[in-house]
Parts: sequence; structure tokens; C-alpha cells
Amino acid sequence: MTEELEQALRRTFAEAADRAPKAPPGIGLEARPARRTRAYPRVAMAAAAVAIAIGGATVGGRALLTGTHAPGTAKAGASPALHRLKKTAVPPMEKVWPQAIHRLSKKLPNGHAYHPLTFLDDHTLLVSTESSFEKADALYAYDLHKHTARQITTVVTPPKTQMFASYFTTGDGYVAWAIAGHYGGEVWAAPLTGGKAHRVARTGTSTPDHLAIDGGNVYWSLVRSPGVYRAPIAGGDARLVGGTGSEYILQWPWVGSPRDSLGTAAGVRFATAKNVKTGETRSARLTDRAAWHCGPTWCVGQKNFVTEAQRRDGSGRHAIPDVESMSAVPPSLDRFVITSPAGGTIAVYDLETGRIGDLGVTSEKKLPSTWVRPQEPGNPLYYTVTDGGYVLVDLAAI
Amino acid sequence: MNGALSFEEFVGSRADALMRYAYVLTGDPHDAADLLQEALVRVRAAWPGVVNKREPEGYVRTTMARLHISIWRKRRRERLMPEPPERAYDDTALARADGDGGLWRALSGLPPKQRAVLVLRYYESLSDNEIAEVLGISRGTVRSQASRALDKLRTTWRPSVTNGSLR
Repeated sequence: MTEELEQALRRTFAEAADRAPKAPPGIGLEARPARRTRAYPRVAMAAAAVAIAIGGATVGGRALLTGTHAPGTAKAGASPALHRLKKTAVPPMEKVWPQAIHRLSKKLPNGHAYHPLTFLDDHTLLVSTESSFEKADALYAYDLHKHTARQITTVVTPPKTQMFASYFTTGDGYVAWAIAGHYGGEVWAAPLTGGKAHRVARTGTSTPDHLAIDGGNVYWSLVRSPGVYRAPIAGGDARLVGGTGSEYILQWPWVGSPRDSLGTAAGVRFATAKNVKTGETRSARLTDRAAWHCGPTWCVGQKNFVTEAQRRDGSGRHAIPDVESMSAVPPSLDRFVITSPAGGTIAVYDLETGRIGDLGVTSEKKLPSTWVRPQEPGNPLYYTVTDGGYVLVDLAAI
Repeated sequence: MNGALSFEEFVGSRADALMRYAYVLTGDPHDAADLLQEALVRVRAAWPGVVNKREPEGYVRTTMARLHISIWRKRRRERLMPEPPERAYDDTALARADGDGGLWRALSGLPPKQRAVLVLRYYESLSDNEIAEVLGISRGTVRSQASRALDKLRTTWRPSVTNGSLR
């Protein structure tokens, strides 16, 4: 029985890890996160007392989970919301966009547990398997029609790696990712048809993020400093892309600034955006909100617990059905917002048409907003965990 | 290479992974965020030493595990007073998701130290020696804590039970 119980514990912990909320944006970067005014001051005081007892660092209790709210938006006495939406039933994804939703078990046909990374086409998922906690060891193409998984490559983790393979991206028949460690940052790639992974380029002492593959090159920006770099996907030296000295990748081929790395600053993120292929530039001057997050076309912002969207030029402004007011990232594919609507669970909202489809997430219902954070804006995949497995949305199929 | 990884870079790339660990340790999304925040505040202060001499992720996880078994216990007690129902965890939905005979819920009844030992042993797959090192306790304590925790879980856990109602 002990062995059986031990197995059950392994399973229970692994499943819990799959259900775990995403980390609130900006966590750990502020010693004193903004506190939300609470109805139970005794709780807050007790927490503060403990915080003092442990060395002066203040932990904002549950205020952390409201970290996605723009600073200042949660102050008592703030003016009431103008656009609060009525509670209405949200139709299920299966009715609205049946072609875009996939419900999958959390095991590949070969029995391996996996993490979804992105869609390669309308029925093939790029996934990673792990050798240990969060350490990707192989990539697979998972064919959802045939229910077969084909190994693409093994993921090499050199000694002294501090950031395991992250920021997976695909294009031109390749998948690329970033690692970092005592040896600096590196970009790696492998052909999607299958084969050995190779190092594309070293990125110096800073860590790459937001990768893109285009025209035979891998592009990336760095966490620590602006500038968009590229190297031939076959391997070569990293070069700064002309005219991007103060830019970060927004959603390829769009770059822009300011980026506001981890979700704490007010203002307009990516207020300026530039298409590196056409040279087109766009700006947004949206001043009435604490924080707007702009994609190439749409900006999403929130105030007084209401999430709103408008285009960069100020047109099309409307409230988004979202009780959590958590959509503090640019819209996915410049068009979709992952929301937590009244009358639903987790839903995909289309800024262009106003249509909404609910994922019918049963076990994660009523969980904090951090559960619904989407991937990077250029990734067509959104996924979360529900009873019995993953629920995935192929945003490109909408 | 000194300073290959800044604290911001580390958090940016690993926050979600660390959050998973915090959630498994605490069993509650709010406590998980608090625990991770507290651990990161401490790690940030010590970052130059951490990144140059150690494996930062291991260091953060050790910090979280130790915090969990020390101050966390006190904070949990403070939480026993009434709280507003907002953001309430949907226990019934979770119980349905809890396929292993209600084990996830039963774990919430364990003292933090016992739970931490189980997490390190069965989630992180550490040896008892490693667990002792991470938690800063003796190997004998690791074994006695694990044994007590398993005994306690056995009182409610039934391998074949799929509907994990414990009460």
C-alpha cells in the first residue's frame, strides 16, 4: 500500500503542478507590491506583523494576486466604472469556433507527459517533454488527427545552464529556442522535419527572449537591453538589425518600445511600433489609463476593474467581458484577448468581431486571474488545464 | 562568465516554473504567490552571490521550502479568521479533479514540514539526504516526518476511491 500511496502522491503533485497558476506579472521585482484595500484590515495587519518579524520585507498578502492591475487602479474611492458589463451567459467555444478548440489528454500517445508550445499547423502541435522539473529534453510534433507523436529533436542542456530552454518559436521549417547560463545566452534551432539541434548564435552576456524566425534568420531581442539581433539559422554571428537600437520584438515583424519588462510601470507599453519589413511606424497616445498594452493594432487597458480595448488611433473603444480585469498583455495575434468573463470560465474574446467563446474550464473555475495569462502575443496557441487534460485553442484557426 | 544572468532575466524566464513549485508546496494559489514573492525578495537581495556561486533555481527552491516550513506556518494560522468569499477556491470542482482518492485535499491537512518533505521526495525526487540538506534538518527528522505524513494520509486515502469526498 505504501508503494501505491507513493505513486499516487507523485501523480497528485505532478497534476497539481499542471494546474498551478501562472506567476503574477512583476512578482519578486518589487519589495513592496501595491496593496489592495481590503475589507478585513485585521488580516492585513497580521500579515504585516509577520512580514516585519521576518526581516522587514513586506509581503502584500493577496494583493499580489491583483498585481496585474495597473498601479493605483485599486485605490479606495476610485470613480465607478463607466462600462461595467452585465452578466450574460458565454457560449462555449465548441459552438462559436469549433475548429479552434482541442481537448487533449496530458500524455502523448507514447505515454510521455508533455507541455504544449505552439501549433505547427491546424492539426499539429509542437510539444516538449521534460527530463526533470521544467527541463525540456525533447521536442515532438503531435499530430492531433492521427494521434501520433514524432520526435523532432533532443534539447541539449549544456553544463552550468541557468535558464533551461525557453521562448520556443517556429518558422521557415525550423524551431528555435533560447538558453542561458554561465556561458552567456545562446539561441539554438533544429529542423522541424527532424534532426540534431545546433547552436545558432551566442547572444553575449544577456539573455535572449522573444525569438522569431524569418527569411532564413533567427531574430531576438534581449531581456536586459534594447536592440533586435539576427543570425543565420544555420549558424553565424549575431548582428544588430539596423534601426532597432532602442526596440524590442513585439510581434514579428513588429518591433517597438517601451517594453516595460515585467509589468509594473504605468503608461503605454509599445506606444511606438515599427514593422521592420515595410518600415511602417505606428504610435499610440492613450493617456487616460494607468496602463495600456498595445499590439500592432489594438491596445488593451484596465481601470477600476474594467478591461477595455481600443485601436492605437483611439477608434473602436469598448469594454471587454472580463471580471478579473487581468488582460495585462498585448492581444494575442493582435486580435484576441483571453478573459475571465462573468457567466463563464476562461474565454477567448475577438476584438475585431466582439464574439466570445468559453473554454468550459471546469476544475479551474473561480481561480485567480493569473490562471488565464496567454502566451507571447505572436503565439497562436492558448492553453490551460481542465478536468481530464489540456484544453487548447488554436487562435489562428478562428 | 560573471553576471551572465540578471535577477530580472531569471525571474522573467523562470517565474511560472517557480510558481508551479510554490503551488505544490503550499496547495493554495494565493499562498503560492505569497511564498514565491517572499522567496524572490530574499533571493534578489543576495543575487550577486547566488548567481556566481550557486545554481539560482535550486537556491530559490531551497529558500521557498525553508520559508514554507518556518514563517509560513505562522501566517497560515493568521489566516484562520474570516475572509471574504471573493476568489474562493472552488473546492467542489477541485475535489472532482482530485482523482487520487482525495489526496490533494488530504495533503492540505498536513503540517507544512511534513508536506514539504513529501513534495521534495515525491515531486522533486530528492533523496532523504538531499531533503535534509534543503530543509536544514537531520536525516532522521526527514524520515520521521515522511513516515508520519504517510501514516496520516493513509487514514483517509483509499486507492480505488475516485470521488474524493473526505468529509
